[in-house]
Amino acid sequence: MSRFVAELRHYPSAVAGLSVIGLLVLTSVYAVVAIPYGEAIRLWRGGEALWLENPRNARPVWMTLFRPDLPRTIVVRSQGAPRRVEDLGGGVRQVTMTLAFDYPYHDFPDGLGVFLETEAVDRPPHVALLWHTPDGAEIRINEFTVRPREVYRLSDDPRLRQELGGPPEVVLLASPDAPDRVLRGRYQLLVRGYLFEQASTLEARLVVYGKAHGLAGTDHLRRDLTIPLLWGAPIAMAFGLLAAVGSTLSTLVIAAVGVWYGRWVDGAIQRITEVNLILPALPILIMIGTLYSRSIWVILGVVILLGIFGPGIKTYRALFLQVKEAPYVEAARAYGAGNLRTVFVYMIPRAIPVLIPQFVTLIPSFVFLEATLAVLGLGDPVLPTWGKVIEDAYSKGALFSGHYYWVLEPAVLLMLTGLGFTMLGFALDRIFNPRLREI
Amino acid sequence: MAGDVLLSVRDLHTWFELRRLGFVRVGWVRAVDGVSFDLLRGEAVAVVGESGCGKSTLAKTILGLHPPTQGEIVFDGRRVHGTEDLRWYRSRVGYVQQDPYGALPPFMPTQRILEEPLLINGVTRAEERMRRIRRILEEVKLTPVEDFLHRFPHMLSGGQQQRLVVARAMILEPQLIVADEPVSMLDASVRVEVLHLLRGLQARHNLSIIYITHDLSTVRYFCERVFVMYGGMLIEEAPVDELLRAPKHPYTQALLAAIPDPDPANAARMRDVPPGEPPSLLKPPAGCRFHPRCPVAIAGVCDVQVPPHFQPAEAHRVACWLYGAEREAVPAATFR
Amino acid sequence: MGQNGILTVEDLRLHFRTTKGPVQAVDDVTLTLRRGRTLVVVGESGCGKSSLARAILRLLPRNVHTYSGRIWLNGSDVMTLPEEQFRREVRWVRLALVPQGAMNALNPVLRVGEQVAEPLVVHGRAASVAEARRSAAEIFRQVGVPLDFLDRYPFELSGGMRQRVAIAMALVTVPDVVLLDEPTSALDVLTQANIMNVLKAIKRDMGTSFILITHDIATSSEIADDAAVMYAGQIVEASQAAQFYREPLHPYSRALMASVPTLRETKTLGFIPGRPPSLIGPPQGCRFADRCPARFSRCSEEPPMVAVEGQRQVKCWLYA
Repeated sequence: MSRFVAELRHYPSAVAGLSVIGLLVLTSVYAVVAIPYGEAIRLWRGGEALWLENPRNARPVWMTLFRPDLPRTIVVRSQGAPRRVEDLGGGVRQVTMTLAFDYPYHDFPDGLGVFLETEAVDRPPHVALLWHTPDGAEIRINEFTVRPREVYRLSDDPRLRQELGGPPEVVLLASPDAPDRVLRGRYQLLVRGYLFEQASTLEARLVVYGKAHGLAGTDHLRRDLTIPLLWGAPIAMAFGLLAAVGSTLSTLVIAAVGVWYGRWVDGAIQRITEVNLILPALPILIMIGTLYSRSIWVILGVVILLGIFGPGIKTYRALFLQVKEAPYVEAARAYGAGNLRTVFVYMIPRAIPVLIPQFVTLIPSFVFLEATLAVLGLGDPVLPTWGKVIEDAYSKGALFSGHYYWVLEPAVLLMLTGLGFTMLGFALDRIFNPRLREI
Repeated sequence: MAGDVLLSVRDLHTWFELRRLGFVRVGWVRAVDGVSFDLLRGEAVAVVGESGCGKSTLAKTILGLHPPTQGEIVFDGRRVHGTEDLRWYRSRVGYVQQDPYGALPPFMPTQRILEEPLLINGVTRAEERMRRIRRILEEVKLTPVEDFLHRFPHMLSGGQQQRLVVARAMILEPQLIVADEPVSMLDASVRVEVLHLLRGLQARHNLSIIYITHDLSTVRYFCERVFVMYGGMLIEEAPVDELLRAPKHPYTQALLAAIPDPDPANAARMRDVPPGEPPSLLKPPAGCRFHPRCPVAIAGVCDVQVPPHFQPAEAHRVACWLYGAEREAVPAATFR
Repeated sequence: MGQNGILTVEDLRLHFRTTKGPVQAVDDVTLTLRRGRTLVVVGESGCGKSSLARAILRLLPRNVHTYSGRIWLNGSDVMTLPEEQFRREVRWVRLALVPQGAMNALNPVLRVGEQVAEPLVVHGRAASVAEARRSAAEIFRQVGVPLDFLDRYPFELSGGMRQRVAIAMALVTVPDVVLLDEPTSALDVLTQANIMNVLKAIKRDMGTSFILITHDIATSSEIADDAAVMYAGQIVEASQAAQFYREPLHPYSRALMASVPTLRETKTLGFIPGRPPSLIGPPQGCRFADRCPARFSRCSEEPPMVAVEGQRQVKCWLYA
């Protein structure tokens, strides 16, 4: 065993493959530890409420290396901002909060949003929003009554857009003389709130959405893409491994049993295998996903079932037919080895050198299968996987709108997984089967 | 050394069905076609013949690896039935095969190889197993034992591998060893070592040995009696010195004449070899199987009826019409 | 040097490159084969004798580390010939080989007649297919294969017949020298005797010179005019057959002879304890020393090839 490990060092492809796999394993461990499963599901399912402060379809932050001017999200909270409270009498208070920020970017933000929270019960407060630009202009934005959790997206307000004569996030930050250039400087949002109850409170948050966020960017639901990218690793590895183990082990045992018992047992197994080989796996999975269940466990189960009587049976059968005739198998019979023992102790170990490289090379094909199903819209509805990210990107036309990162990031990860395992598998094949080597 | 009968083989036939298309029976390959002999306790006999004469099948039938088609095998007074339920028998017969490397599972170290027969035959205590393993390794001179316990077969030389095979055959303390060409795949200088080892084991443990070989020149050094097999049948049986000195069957005579000793005079002359090939076991010739190649075949007799065993001399049996009651013995110099 | 024999090998060296170091399979081998005679090279497995055959025919694998020496065929050194010229003019034209296991290496999808005729076609020795077939038939007659076997496939022939076909393939171009590597070790006694008869007949009728490489000393005596013993990549003894079989000189040859069971006379069999040395990094000094019953202090130095009376040569300090 240690002999093989030592040999691995001689093969650059094995070293490269192992490094990639090691990275994937580390990523998986990190993902599971840093964002526990329940948390990950919650976040992924989240809905807009959780991701309020994230920009939509933001590029990854490292892209600022290429485009230095991508604006980042700026959040200004009223909790730390200057506030003036005036008592207007009759239980009415006027609260004026000044949310100020510096806008240093040359590019316009992706959007503007104001989030208000209040605890009033009977008589909700009334709020007026005023915008102050660096060059002293004051623009009246809107006035409205505040619900306990009020989300006001300036960018999505058609009335405001019409009033301003353009997208609010552009017009509000544009230079007056050059409307396509940003006026950089200090901006202020004045939140003037009128509180009618003694106990009511008012807090506000201004979010100036940037165009870059996070290590991986965000998607159309403002979700941070690092979550599915990180969590995709353990899911892919687990699926690939379990499917590979499940189908390979059973294939091996069935082939060995068939060969040893011969006659009708072998015949039956071969006929089942031949029928199974003709069955198209992907359409069957699609049918099951569409008509029955998309749960990843169900899909995994079906994949394993379809894989048990797979082409491996033919390969292993050829091998075992040879092993069956080996003198030491005959000798074992002569000193009393029973059928089961002969199969498991004497025949199956001979298949290990063939099994291991095949097994390693099989793992990525299952990973791709799962991703394929996800892209077709049949992925597990709950889990954050790489395939799901690609599916989202695809259905939202990521490539048309220039959000290449959305597709490329999961694609590159899938490719790396495939490469890593395949390189290791090929190197293992050369180690375990020396006849493939060149001297 | 000689004692009572350990193994009795009576009219043994082992035929293999030849099928075409999986179910159309074309005929029978008559690998063993009527073999009878007795083997005494502590006796070593050789079964000599060329490839295709059925000697390996005879060995495997005796070992219980093939069921006999007809006839019976009686071991120590008990009938050996079929191939199932032979635990009592398998632990008392050891098998030494021709290919030393092939006979050893390449993925098991020495200790494990020797443990397997013990585990299968119910030696449950680990100390007991280790004790027996060490003892047998000492006996086959694979020492120092500690050095060899963890070696895999490919780390051993050919001679060492074969000694390990012998150790495995001996570990259940059998009464009979069946050795099928045990030294033909070893180098000349190593053969003697292994044969010597088997001889020593035979003496110490009062073992009976059936030694199957095509190399007649080794039989003098190894066994007491020789059986000659041809076309699935035993055609001659005699004590070893007697056989080598005065072979009676024309085939045995041809065989002996064809074996060279290292003698420079050999280069100066051609050898007389019977023409033709060994008989097909599927469609054997009628009558005596050797008659198509025999220089002294009697027309009308040898090609019609299978000869029974005659006994022209003490403890010497021949299946040849030349030794029928009314015939005289054929001089041994039929072949040069 | 090298003019008296039809084939003389001088200081032939063939080392292979492996991950564990160079394998010194053929280490400074010097041999002479005289015209019309048969030289047998006797040695056990792992002594390098198969590599010797390949070295002489320049059938080299890719991992060659060293290949040097001189091979004189009929007076000219063929080692110096470029590869293409060697292939066209020497290999299988003047020098042929029946490799080990040749009877199992016949092309299963070609008829044996075609296969035997193939060397003629490849080397342009036959004017037409019909002529090639005629030559093949002639060779079949020489080796004792019935002519109606020309159109049969290898699987239809017995082991002995296939070996005769393999020998025919080597003889069809009427080479000067034929090397045979273990021609009879997989065969039965009677078939073995038959094949040796065939070789003796060829020797007598066609005057071919043979080098027979084998581990079977007894069989080698059937045809040997001269004998050489190989151990651990080196020739340790060379002499005429008559002297060698009666009285070998080198301690290894003696031990080997003592381990061969004889049919016609009784003797005590001996065996050689230990194993031959690995050809990777063989020991310094005499390579047989650690197994030799007659070793003494000088054996830690490599012995030269000593000439002994009667044109014999031994590589042993005992005769220096």
